[in-house]
Amino acid sequence: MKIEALILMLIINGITVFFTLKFLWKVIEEEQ
Amino acid sequence: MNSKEQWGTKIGLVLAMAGNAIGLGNFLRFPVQAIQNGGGAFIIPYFVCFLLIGVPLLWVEWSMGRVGSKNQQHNMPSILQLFTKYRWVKYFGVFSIFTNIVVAAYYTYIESWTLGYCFFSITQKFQGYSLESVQNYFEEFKKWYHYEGVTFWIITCFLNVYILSKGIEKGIEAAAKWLMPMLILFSICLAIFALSFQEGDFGALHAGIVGLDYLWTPDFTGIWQPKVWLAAAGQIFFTLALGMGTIQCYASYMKKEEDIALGAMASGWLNEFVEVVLGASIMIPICVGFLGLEKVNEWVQLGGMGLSFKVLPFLFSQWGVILGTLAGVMWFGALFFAGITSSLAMGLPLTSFMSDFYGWSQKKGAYLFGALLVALGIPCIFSPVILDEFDFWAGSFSLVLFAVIEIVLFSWVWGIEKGWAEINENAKIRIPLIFKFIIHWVTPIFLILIFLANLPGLFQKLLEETTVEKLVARIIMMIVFFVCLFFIYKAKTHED
Repeated sequence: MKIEALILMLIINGITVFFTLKFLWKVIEEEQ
Repeated sequence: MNSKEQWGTKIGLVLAMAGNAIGLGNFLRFPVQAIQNGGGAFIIPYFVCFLLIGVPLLWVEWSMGRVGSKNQQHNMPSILQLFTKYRWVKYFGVFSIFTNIVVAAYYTYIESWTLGYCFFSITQKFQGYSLESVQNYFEEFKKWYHYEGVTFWIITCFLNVYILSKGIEKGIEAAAKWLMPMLILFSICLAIFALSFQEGDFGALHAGIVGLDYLWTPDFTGIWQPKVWLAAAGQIFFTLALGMGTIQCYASYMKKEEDIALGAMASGWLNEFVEVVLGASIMIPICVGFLGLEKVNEWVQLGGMGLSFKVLPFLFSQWGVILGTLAGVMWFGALFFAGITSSLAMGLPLTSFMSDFYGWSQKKGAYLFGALLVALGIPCIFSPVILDEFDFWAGSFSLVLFAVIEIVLFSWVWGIEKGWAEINENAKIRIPLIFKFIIHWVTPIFLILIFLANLPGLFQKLLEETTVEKLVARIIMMIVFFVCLFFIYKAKTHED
């Protein structure tokens, strides 16, 4: 895999996973 | 609908909202859009549009819904009326009802293909078929006289009506709580497989990672082209189900003290996760791995539908009985779950409207929705031209127009101060102050620019040769539009 594609994918996917988990976790916390 | 009805749990609301947003486009439209518009570079305008249009509109639409909830209003005409003293504004609510009826008519039809293909995966229908036979079968399957296609369409309509008739908590929320986790689980399994197979495995020409490289390799040369930005903005609209009135309708059933800032972000980012992380990691890597780059390059021009229904069933049939069946069930199952959680949301604006104004029960409203799905779905089954016309006017043009109306109403007519206070009320997360400026200035201007940029296409559409099918589609849409308008006229808003 080309290095620029890999870096871009890791950054974008990393940001997306981070915010998804962060907000979902907070919702679950609130629920409890 | 019983106005006492509301979401049972916060996680149920978030999953239902995410289900509304996550649709077929997350898996079929996004990867193709990315490849056609600069690969990995497309993600940059895409995320800029997410931050400048998607996130602000999510907060605006959730806020409008909660304002409706505080006033026991669950339908768009009345919700719009709450933001201004001008009574004629309620008529803009027609877009919400009209758009959802028309879009649901063809959307459930496409959704039924996924259900059918999920069933065919179980029965291993395509074992021994050549690629050409699979393609031909799909063309036949879509024809009005094909009994299997029609049967799955009727089943899909029935399932939608059944779940919708059960109401918010026992119907839509219960379905979302089951279907969304399954959708995510199926997608994760497929993504792991798609990224882990190597050259030679099951006859693969390349490793799955080659497809990922193909999709993510950035081409920055076209990043400033208006068409790339329009494609990114369009994708954000479709993927987040903005400008349809479904988010307001769902949010109007939340508790008055519920936080919207967090809920909107949780559902919005969950949609992005399914689209960017999972949607990009399944169809393209599998197709590139087994067909090669050249063939996929050709197929991508025909769109995601072609790859999904004409190519993937053939590839799955090559993987042996167990793996092929599992992959088929997971892929088409995930698509069906994504589709039905979206089409259910399209039914609610109509049932809520009939319930608020005409005292209809949820069951009766759901039956009406079902009748309209059948009545408007039949022309789509008979003619793909009619389906395309419905998609252009109701599924594209109407969304942007309604989004412009709602953002102007919220941040200008009602006022950004009130709007900002409403968004932040009971917020469990701190919203950066910059978003106040974005909602007030950037999003409305951005949306108006998108609307203006779409006008040439609209005029071109009007000027091109009008066939009988196009005329029929437009007459049907006008009838639906004016009947909805008449029902709003006859209805009494809370102001009356």
